[in-house]
Amino acid sequence: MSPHSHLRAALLALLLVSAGLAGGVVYAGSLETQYVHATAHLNFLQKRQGIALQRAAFQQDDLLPVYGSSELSIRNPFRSDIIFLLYPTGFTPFLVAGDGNTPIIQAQTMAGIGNGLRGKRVVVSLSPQFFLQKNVTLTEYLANFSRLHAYQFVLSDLPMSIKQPVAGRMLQYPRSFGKDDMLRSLLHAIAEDGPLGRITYAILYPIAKLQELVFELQDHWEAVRSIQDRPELKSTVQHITKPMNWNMLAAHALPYAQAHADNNKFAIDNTLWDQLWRGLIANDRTKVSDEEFTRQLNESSSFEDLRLMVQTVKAYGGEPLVLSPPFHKVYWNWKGVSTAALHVYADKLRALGKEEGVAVVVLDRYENDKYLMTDPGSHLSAEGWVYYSQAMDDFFQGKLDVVKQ
Amino acid sequence: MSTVPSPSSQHLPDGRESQAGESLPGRIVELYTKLANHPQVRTVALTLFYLAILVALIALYGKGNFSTPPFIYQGY
Repeated sequence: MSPHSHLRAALLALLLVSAGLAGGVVYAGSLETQYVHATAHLNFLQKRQGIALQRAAFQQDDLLPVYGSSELSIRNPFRSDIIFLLYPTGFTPFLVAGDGNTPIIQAQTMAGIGNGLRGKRVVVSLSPQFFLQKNVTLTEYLANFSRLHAYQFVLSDLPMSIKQPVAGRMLQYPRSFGKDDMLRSLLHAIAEDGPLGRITYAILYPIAKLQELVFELQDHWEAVRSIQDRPELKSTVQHITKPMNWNMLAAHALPYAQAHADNNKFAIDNTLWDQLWRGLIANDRTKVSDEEFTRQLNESSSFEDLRLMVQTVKAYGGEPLVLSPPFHKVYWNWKGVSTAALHVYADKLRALGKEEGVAVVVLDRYENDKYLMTDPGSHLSAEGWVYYSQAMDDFFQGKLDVVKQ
Repeated sequence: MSTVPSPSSQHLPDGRESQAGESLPGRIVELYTKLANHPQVRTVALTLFYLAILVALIALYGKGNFSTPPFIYQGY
């Protein structure tokens, strides 16, 4: 009997398992590609917390990935996925929505997409109220944090000018990595970037890559399960090319929005008004001055987070569109904030866009239209969705002029 | 007079003879011993053993947990 028989058998078993896993990954990849169009408009955990389906979406020329928060998941008959259901102008949005999803999380997700971003367009939908917070809250962060994305970020080849500040921000949420000492050490190594940090990073890199590989395999597994759990999904989608008449769509959307927001002076959706806003507004005695409002905007970390996120997209050769509704004018005027102060938000976004050379569209030209949103939480009305969709279409067709935005 | 082994008897590695009428555990031991001494069978068995360990590890720890705590915005 050979003294190496155990070693030989163990290596053979490892080889067989590796071959099986590789075959599984190929199968999962083909299934993800086959069904990625069918999942474009769905919102489920694995789609946003994993990376396999998102990467598959970036490989499709007729999908426009759109990242955002709750505004993307609230149902509306004029939502972009309905407007572009049949790919009338050549694409449909691939929605990645997480309640409270903010740019610091999206920066990590973009690092996960990595080279898949090269030559691709991606839309980032913002909610203005998040830019009034000094910092992203822990609950917002934890609700959208993905260890897979975090590992992909720390192991990415992004320049240190991006990695270092992002790692610094991630370290502000120690509960997100919990007992994962390797992730914590890697983040510290990146954030400190000294000789010791570089040695630590080099030592941990191989084992962290292995951990990343495990997460990616788990992600493929869960993505396949997510698809198989939805037998209604079809692998083929219908494309019907048709020119868009945006004015006509807006003309249909406005009466719909009006009819659903006619029981209060704020033009808040009737159901939302009855369930939430009537009580909130009745009990709200605090007024906000222009100074306080602009101070909050100026102190918010979200603008720098957004800068890091668009820099990440650009570093991989992607083209981002920053898309946002304005603040809900009727509500904020009632809170005591002047319209001029509300404009600071759009001004700051556009300044950031110019500095970074990326397209920024804020729908503030419609700010006097009180039916643009269903509530002050930046959730778009039927009419708002038409304008949002038009901006997406212009971006996809390459009609947006970055300089003029 | 020379002793001629009966056709149903076999030599075990330790020199003992196993008779056709031997008990079931004894025959299993006998078969195992024969197989264990066969190099190719041994390699296959060991490979299956390690394969089972790896598959069990994948089954135990392979399932990912991508869940997140819920979040409802309350900053109004």
